Amino acid sequence: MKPIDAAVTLKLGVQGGHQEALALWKAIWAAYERGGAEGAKTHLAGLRELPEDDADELDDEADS
Amino acid sequence: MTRPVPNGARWRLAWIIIREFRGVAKERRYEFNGRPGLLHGNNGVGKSTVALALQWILYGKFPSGVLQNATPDRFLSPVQAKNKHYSGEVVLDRGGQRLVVSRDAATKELKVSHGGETWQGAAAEAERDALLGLDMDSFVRAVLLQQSQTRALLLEDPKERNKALDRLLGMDSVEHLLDLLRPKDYTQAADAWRDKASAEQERLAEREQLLAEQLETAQKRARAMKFLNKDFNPSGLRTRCADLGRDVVALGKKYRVDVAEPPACTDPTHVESFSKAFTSQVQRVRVHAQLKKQLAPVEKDISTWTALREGWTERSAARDESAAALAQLVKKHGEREGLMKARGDLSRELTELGRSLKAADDTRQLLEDALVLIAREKPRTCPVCEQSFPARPDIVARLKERSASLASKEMGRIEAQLATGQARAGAIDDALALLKAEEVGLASCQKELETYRQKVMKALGGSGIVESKILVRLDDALRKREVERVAIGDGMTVMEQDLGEMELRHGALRDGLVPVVLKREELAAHEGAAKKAKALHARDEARAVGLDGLAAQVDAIRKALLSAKQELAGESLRKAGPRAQFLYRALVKQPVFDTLDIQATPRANKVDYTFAVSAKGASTTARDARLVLSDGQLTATALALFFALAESTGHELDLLYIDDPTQNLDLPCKEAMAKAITDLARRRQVIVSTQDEDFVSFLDAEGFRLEAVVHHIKSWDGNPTVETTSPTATGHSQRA
Repeated sequence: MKPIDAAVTLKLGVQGGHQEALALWKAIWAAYERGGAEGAKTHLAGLRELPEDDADELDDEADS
Repeated sequence: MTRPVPNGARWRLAWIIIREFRGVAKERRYEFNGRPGLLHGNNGVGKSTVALALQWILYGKFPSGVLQNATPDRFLSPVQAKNKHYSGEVVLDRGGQRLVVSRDAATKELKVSHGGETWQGAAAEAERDALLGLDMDSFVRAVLLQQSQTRALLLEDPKERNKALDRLLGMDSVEHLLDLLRPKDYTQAADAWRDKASAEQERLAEREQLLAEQLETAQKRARAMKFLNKDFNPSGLRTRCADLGRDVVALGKKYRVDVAEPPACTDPTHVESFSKAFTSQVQRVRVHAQLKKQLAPVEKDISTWTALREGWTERSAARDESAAALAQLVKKHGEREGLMKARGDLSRELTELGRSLKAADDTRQLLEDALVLIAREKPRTCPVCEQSFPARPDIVARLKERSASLASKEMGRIEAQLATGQARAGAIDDALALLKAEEVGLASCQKELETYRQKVMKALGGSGIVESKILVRLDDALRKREVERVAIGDGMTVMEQDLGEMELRHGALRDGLVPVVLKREELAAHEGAAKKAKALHARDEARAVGLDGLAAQVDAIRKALLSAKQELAGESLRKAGPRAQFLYRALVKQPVFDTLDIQATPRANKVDYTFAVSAKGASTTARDARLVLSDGQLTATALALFFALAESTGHELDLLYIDDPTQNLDLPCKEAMAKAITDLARRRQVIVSTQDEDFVSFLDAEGFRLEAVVHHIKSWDGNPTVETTSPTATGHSQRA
């Protein structure tokens, strides 16, 4: 386990009520390890479900 | 069989073989045998090729930004050849153990061999990382030290400086993730779902109000068409349609037309087919009604008889005109018989006059002959009566007188009578011709009239109708037919009124009742859709709540990342601190600010770095290093930190490959750098690459060469020309 992963895992793990955040972190870190920043970005974008009409607009905003 | 590893032994570079790669068109092997190394030579002779090959063979890629604007193939192919078959081999040694890493661009294959085993692909990568204990990012930070990586530490923009330190500390992944972890993205997404639901609800409410208003308007209109509230539903519509269908059938019976009842209208969607059938049946009544059949022959008779009456009148008038003209001629010239008799008398009279004229002419001729004879022969007696002439002159005179009298008087009289008679005869002939022509015309008119009379009698269905009664009979018949036509017309008017009433009822049904029923159904459907939409909105709200939760999780991760970054970066800096401090003093030799202090400092939503110098560590004298040190001193300070961090990073590769460390340094600093590197080379494998001959001299002066393998790259012609010197037990041996 890389130091940063270990440190974040430890911090989220010891804080009560952050189990979901820990699971999310694991998924994000795995995506980052696999595909770098683009991989993590794609994973996070996949979580951000948007109404169809707003998707493009908010994506543009996020990119800017 | 793996040989035992001496305690604390780490991997060192034994040699590297470079094939058809960048500055090596063929193949070049650089041996180090686990010793320190020096590569020196002028710019452009292929020194950097070795560093690039080392990175590419081990990891097959470069940190982002290293190969800007060039695809790997184009950049890594031989400068003069451009083929894509570059390959290479790195051999590492650890207390007699060998780790061989080879890579081939053509086959895209990585091979790792160690302890008699060979791995390929992902297994080879895993084995490599496990044995070396570092990945590519750590390799770039802790093994392959290029001064270009320190440049960003000197930038004025604190953001860029922080980024450079992040890279040195291996915190760039944290920064990448912090950039991406934005709770706002998820709260915005949650808001978008809530806004969508809210907008949809508003739209549905507006639509419902509009439909209710339209229904009210339609109901008012339908009531004005005598429909009742009980009709305003599919059942009412069905009843009304059925009534209308039965009535159109009854109407068909009344006008003796077979009419089929239109299909039942059990649903508003059936109205169209009902209307089509109804209209068709109404039209059928209109076209096939008995009255219409009765009317046709009556109108035909009236038309025929009217034409006959006109024809009779015309022909009768022509005949009468001809008869009047004949009567006029008779009145003028008399009857034909009288004219014929007068013409006969006149012919005889003219014959007599002709004879008289001829006799007188004969007498006159005789007298003329007598006169000629008398004048020629002079007789004494008359040759006819033989009597003697009394006296010749007297006879001749008398003969002449008599002849002249005959020619001028008697014959003239006769001729005048003859001319008068002939003129009269011509006039009578002319009159007779006129009479004849008029009589022929009259006969023709009469004949045609008679033929027409026969035709009229046939048309009227009678016989023996005299001429004088023809018109009377025609007029009687026409009067009767007119009476019949009026009666049928009245009947048809009533039928049209009946049909019109039906059509009005149908129109009211279609334009009044149907819109109400349809609008009520539309409203009911809308209410159903609104109900479903509410369920969807509840789902959207659940989504929004989930996204709010995600925002909170992302926020927690972000905070954990920041905290972790501060701890890890702080720990790295603490570990590297003493060595960095030592190198700072050794390299920079700043007379006042002799203490270097680099710390990770937490700020709101980020971790900054302070890069300060002070006098003997006194906090009151601490200053931002950038404000105190020259560019060269800053470069040396950055290198001090760079080396210290690299040295303090834990991994299994006992190698520091330092590429071009003396840029921007003055001579004393170069000398200090040579001393520091030589000192470092006593504890681990250091390979230095430089074009700076002053620096090489300083390294020689420090004794670096005594333990190092030196590759002097003298020239380049597609392949480097290298002079290699290796240490031996008795000194250095040299080979080309």
